[in-house]
Amino acid sequence: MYFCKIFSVFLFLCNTLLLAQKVIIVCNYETKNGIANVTVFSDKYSYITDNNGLLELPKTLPSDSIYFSHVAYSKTSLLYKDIKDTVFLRPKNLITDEITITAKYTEQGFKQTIDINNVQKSNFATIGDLIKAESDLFIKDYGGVSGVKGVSLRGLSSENTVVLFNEARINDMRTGMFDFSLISPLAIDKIEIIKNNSIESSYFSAGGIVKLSSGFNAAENKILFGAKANSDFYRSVFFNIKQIYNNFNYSINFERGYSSNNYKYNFEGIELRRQNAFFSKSFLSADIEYRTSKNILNLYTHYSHLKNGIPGFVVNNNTSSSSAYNLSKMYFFVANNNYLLQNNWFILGNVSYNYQNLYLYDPLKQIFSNKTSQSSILHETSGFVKSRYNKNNFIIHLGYEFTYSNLKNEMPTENNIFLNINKTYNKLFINGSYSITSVPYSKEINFFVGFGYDFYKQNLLNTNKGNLFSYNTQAEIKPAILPSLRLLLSFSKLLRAPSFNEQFYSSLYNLKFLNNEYYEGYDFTIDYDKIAGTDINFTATYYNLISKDKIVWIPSRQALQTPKNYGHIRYTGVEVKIESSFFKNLINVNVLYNYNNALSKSKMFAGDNSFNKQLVYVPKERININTSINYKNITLNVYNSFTGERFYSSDNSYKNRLNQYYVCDASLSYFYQLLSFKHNISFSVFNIFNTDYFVIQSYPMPLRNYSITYIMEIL
Amino acid sequence: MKRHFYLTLIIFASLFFACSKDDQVTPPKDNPLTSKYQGVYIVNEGLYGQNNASLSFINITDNVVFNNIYEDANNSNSLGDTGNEMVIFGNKGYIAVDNSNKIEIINMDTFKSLGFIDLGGAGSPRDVVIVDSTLGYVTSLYNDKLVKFNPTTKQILKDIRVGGKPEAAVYANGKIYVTNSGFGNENTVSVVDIITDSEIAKLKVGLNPRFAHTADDGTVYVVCSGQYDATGRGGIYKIVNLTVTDSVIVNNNPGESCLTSNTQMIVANSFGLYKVNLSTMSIDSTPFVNAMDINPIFGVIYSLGFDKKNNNLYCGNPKDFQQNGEIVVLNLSGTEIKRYNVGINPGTIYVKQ
Repeated sequence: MYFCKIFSVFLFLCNTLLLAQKVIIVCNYETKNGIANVTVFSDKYSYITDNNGLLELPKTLPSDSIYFSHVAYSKTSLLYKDIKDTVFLRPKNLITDEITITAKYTEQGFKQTIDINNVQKSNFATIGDLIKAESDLFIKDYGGVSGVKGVSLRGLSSENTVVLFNEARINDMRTGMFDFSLISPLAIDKIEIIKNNSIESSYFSAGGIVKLSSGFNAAENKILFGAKANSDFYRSVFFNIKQIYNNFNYSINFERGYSSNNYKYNFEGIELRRQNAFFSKSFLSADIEYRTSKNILNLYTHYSHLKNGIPGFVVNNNTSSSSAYNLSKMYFFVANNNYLLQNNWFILGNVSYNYQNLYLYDPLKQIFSNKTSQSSILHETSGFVKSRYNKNNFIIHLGYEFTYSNLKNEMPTENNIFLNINKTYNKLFINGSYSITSVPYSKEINFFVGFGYDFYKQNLLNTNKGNLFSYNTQAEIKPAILPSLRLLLSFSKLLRAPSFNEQFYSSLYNLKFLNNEYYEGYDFTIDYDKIAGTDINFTATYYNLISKDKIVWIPSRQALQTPKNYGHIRYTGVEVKIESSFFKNLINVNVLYNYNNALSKSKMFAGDNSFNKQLVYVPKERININTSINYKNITLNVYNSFTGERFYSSDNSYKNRLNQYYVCDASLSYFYQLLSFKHNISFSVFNIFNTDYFVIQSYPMPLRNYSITYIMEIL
Repeated sequence: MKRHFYLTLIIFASLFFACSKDDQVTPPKDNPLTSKYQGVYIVNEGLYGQNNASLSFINITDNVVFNNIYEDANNSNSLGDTGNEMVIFGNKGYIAVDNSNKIEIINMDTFKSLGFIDLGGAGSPRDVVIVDSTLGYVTSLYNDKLVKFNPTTKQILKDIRVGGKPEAAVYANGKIYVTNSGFGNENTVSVVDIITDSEIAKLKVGLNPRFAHTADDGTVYVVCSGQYDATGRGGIYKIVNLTVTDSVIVNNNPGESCLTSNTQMIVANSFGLYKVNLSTMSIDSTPFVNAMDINPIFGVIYSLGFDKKNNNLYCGNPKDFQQNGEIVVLNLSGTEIKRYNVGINPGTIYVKQ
């Protein structure tokens, strides 16, 4: 708010001096923040605002009509002579301008939203790389573009984070986690990271929720072509079409990329090239949205074909330990329908279908002792119905979700003998929030409580059933004296069911089923926007979580690893985020600091030296400092990441530690408009200081490498 | 002078005629020069794929353990990934390092590396036999081979095809006996003649033969672990030359074992340590040491060694397989004497008398 006012004055002074052009800023009427990608046009010209909502408007006749258009805002037209330095656009409400939501809809919990712009799409090869740079989630990265990338929140394992794509859950049924190297940033427009269960979500997970959404963050129709190349022999071409009509929008996205991926790394003092890390991928997606006054229907589908080497660990005298590769075909479809039943009553329906055909080829029989391949075919159909009702200060969500999965998995020790597994998963949830506004000294107090009940049944070697009951409760206070301050306290009890692999191999080798993992904890957040009228946003969270029956893969005999419920862990820590902008959004700085204690709290036996020691691969400290400089058509992004030392033995012995490391990446983007084409060239350098580091022991990370991306938009 | 000549001739002749076919290749025996290396060596596997195998040494006389002796002597360089077996011959130690596809050779006086024998991709060395200074053999797990090499020049001399997933190798009677585990799917022992370097017999034993020992009288005992199912039916098989002469069934996946004499073996299964009478091929009905007393969390006895001089057993305790382990020292009555902290997953105990 203050930024727009101050900047308006500044613009006025500039305009009187410059005379030839009028520099304006287009802002959100409610938040007073600048709006990117607003199309500003007349019958003579057409321009779009930059990332900060700025635009140099050429001088024209005072009586000319100038139009301001953005898909998320009501269209506005003004005569040139009436245009001030700041133009405010009103956000469109959910359905139409005539129907407004009267209840207060508060956003419980702490959520980070990353709206992915073209610059970010071009800078990063995978969503995993983007999340690593832009958020405080820790990415367990096995190296290179095709290396597996799993998220870890607060020291928890990747299986604890629910990943949604357009509201459909996409965690792999077999492993329980999601590999963020599989999705290109080109297919995604927004990422939301929800650490506490909120009214928006029906999922209860200790590791939070990562929501990936494809949608329409562009204001106008466009056709986009691009190509990317990097110094590790990665080549990619892509195109994207977006067409926006009154009530109907669609988008098609295609990417073809391949690489030998022989990236350079250091090992035992010698510079080597990564072996068997090649990949070849094709990705095609389509997105359709249809809106009426009462209904929003969204359909999304994608097909991907991926062949990638499994590079294996790097150890002394064995730097190409694997010649195995994966061949996977994946098809995914999701339909969302958001229907306004009455003024205050929405129904959201979702149907999704996920097909995965995985083929693993292991010519040296290193993974499978007596065969060279393994195939696995997954069919998963899911659907849910959610109802949201709000009245006065109440909001209630009620929902039911059903998932049917069929997995045809070749036995690990036999050829052509398939295990046919069917799993049904039912979920019921209810949550509600209540706001109180007439409280002394407080602008608003919100209470939230949510309950979830899951019941599943699967036939492994024997029938396995389970049920989980989880709940979460939160209180949020907005003090009257500091309206932009929020205080949140959250408490939860959650369960995680073992994944298919965990349950199957436990029943196969340990002859018993695993228990659910149990989590219980609380966190407290201070969230302060625009501190004292500045552009500084501050968020700090303290969390304290305990887990029981954690599932750990432990070697038993003949190097065989089997999963077991094992021990209690306590996770405590602090997460701090500071965002600020300087010189009128010329420079934006994000600082993310995480301190994580993830300690084993059970002495499992006499002489257990893992008691009170940090979990393997969980760093105690991480700092990300990201800076972006936006000047006219140039954007410079610098990502600095520091990760503290980690241990890979449970007793944290000094010999078995990975050193702390600092990595700096930077990208420089330049865009210009020529006729009806917008051109964007980005040049990125990753690992500028050539840091030699491991995220996971024996999986080296790339040394310094470069990439260049060119994008052409047809406006 | 003539007397001395004839005496020499008689002595020489007696030596000549005393040689039999078996003595044409000298069996491995202790070299007096190596007596200073006496003690207990532990090859710690480390964590699979994490490049942190290590070597520990217990000085029995002084009751002191030394850990990371390879790294300390070699500029903090890692021994490699998944150390599996060790033998000492002369003043050199030969360590099979599985995932590093090498046999690391160290100077036993300084523990400094003398180089390594590279078995190449998927070489996966498991068990080493040194016959003499020019002749050694190692089982190559993923290649289904027994690899012949020269311990002095470090040259690979020959690959000899054996059965699937060969684990243990022992020398007896001029032959190498190789247990073909098949990862639980095979039940044979390949017998390789070291003159012809070829497999001359394949003897049928129980499922999953993983360990083997040679008694002083040349009898070979093979321990079969069986399938990892509810019964875990395995067994101990007695081989004399080219014949399986006797056996005894041992349930619950027997594995680690050691000879305490020509007539007694100690074998570990998931319940504990048992005494086996090798004369009658019978096993005690109850363990004299419970596995949970060694490893209270999983009941796993990960390795076994026997000190003949002091009649003590050395048992490897991997704890939870994710942290540094222990060696538990017991007497033959099963009484615990001491515990030593060693590296992660102490998989092999080599007692140098």
